[in-house]
Order: sequence, then C-alpha cells, then structure tokens
Amino acid sequence: MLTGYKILVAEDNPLNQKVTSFLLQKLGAISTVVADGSIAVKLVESDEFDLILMDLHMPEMDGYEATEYIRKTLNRDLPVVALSATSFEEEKQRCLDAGMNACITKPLDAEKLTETILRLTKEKKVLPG
Amino acid sequence: MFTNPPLLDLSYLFEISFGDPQYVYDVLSLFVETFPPGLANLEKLIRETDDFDAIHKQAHTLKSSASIIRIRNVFDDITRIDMLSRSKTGKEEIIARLDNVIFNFNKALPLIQAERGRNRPHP
Repeated sequence: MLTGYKILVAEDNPLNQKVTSFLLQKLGAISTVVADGSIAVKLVESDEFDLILMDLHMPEMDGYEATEYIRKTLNRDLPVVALSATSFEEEKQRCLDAGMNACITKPLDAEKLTETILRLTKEKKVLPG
Repeated sequence: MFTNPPLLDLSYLFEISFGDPQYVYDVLSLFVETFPPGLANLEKLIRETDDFDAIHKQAHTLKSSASIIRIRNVFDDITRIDMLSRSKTGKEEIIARLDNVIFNFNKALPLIQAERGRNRPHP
C-alpha cells in the first residue's frame, strides 16, 4: 500500500519508534527514524522524503518548532503529520497553525495511517508547482 | 452491568505485530526496559518536587507507552496526571493517581514478563 514511500519519523519514545517503523515496514514504506526535531530538520535539508510523521514533544526541538522551521526557513511544503497522544482540539489547532497538514493520535492505526499518508502525498502531487 | 477491564490488554500489540513473535518480544522488552525507570522518575518528581512542567513531560512520555501496552487504568491515570500537571493544579489527585499507576503496573509486570517469555526467540 505504501510501497516505496520514504517516510521520516521524528519520535523520541523508543517504544513508539519501534511500533511506527515496524508498521511502516509492513505497509511497504521505507522509514528513517530520528529522536528529535533538530535532527529531522537537518535530514529534510539533505534528503528527499515523501512525508514526515512528527511527534509533538521532543527534547531539544519539538514538533511545532521543527515544522515551523521546515515551512518558514527551509520553505518546504513537504507533508507533515503530527503524532499526538491526545485528541484535544486546541492541540490539533496548534498543529495546523504551525504548518502541519494533519494530526493522528497514538497508538497508530494502520488503516488511518495509510489513508492519511496517501491523501496528503496525492494532494501534494496534484498541486501546481 | 459494570465489568472490570483486564489487568493486561495486549490486543493492540498483537494486532500490529502481524503475527511476528520476535516483534512482540522486542516491544515487550523495550517496555520493560523503559517504562519502570520513567515511572520511577515520575514518582520522584511528584513526591519530591512541585515541578509541574517536568511532571507533565514525564507523564506525556509514559502515556505513549501506556497506550501500546495497556495495563488496567494506567493510561487513564497517566493522562489525568498529564492534564493536571499542564494546568499546574491538583497535586493531591496527582499523587493518588500515581499510587494507582504504581499498584497496577507492579501487578501487571509478572504477566508482561510471562508473555515476553512465551515470545522469546528460540536459538
């Protein structure tokens, strides 16, 4: 379903790293896992990804800061999906305000994850350049 | 009719394992390695400090793990600790919730270890 998709996962919890990367692998995607937003933005500068799964709370640079950096400093429109442990509306809105494209709650659901990734990468492909 | 949830619910883990016992073993091992020190740190922060920001951050990290390995009421109690510490209030309730988490975690740990043993890879 996600064969060949290159997904960057920014997540500092080792258990969530394992769960997310295994799920992506089973779905056919290639994942790169980093434990902080500061590393994620460096990789976005140097490598091509189809989408980022971004945890919101990381030690040095959190998901909000990393996304704002990607949007405003790197000027990249790469799809960013927030991985949230809550479903609070104010958190969702804060994600969207930071420039994220969608928010999904942990623990991850394979179907929801796939649908979100396909939808956002398809939208990106049809937008005029 | 009210029914008590099971002490340990690994249904989500089994669902996402795609039938791979090595993966189940690895995830349970990671949980056993990371959750207890995180819980010990949370306990220290709650009992010895009023650093609500640090309590919130530690609770938030544990909440993610608790959503994967589901021990009775632990996810709900940690979520409540997370919420209260974000609003810097409810220290008494935070302590009560912490006691629940520790109690239920200690009860569930032998079951987690047993399941981990069942999925241990054979040489």
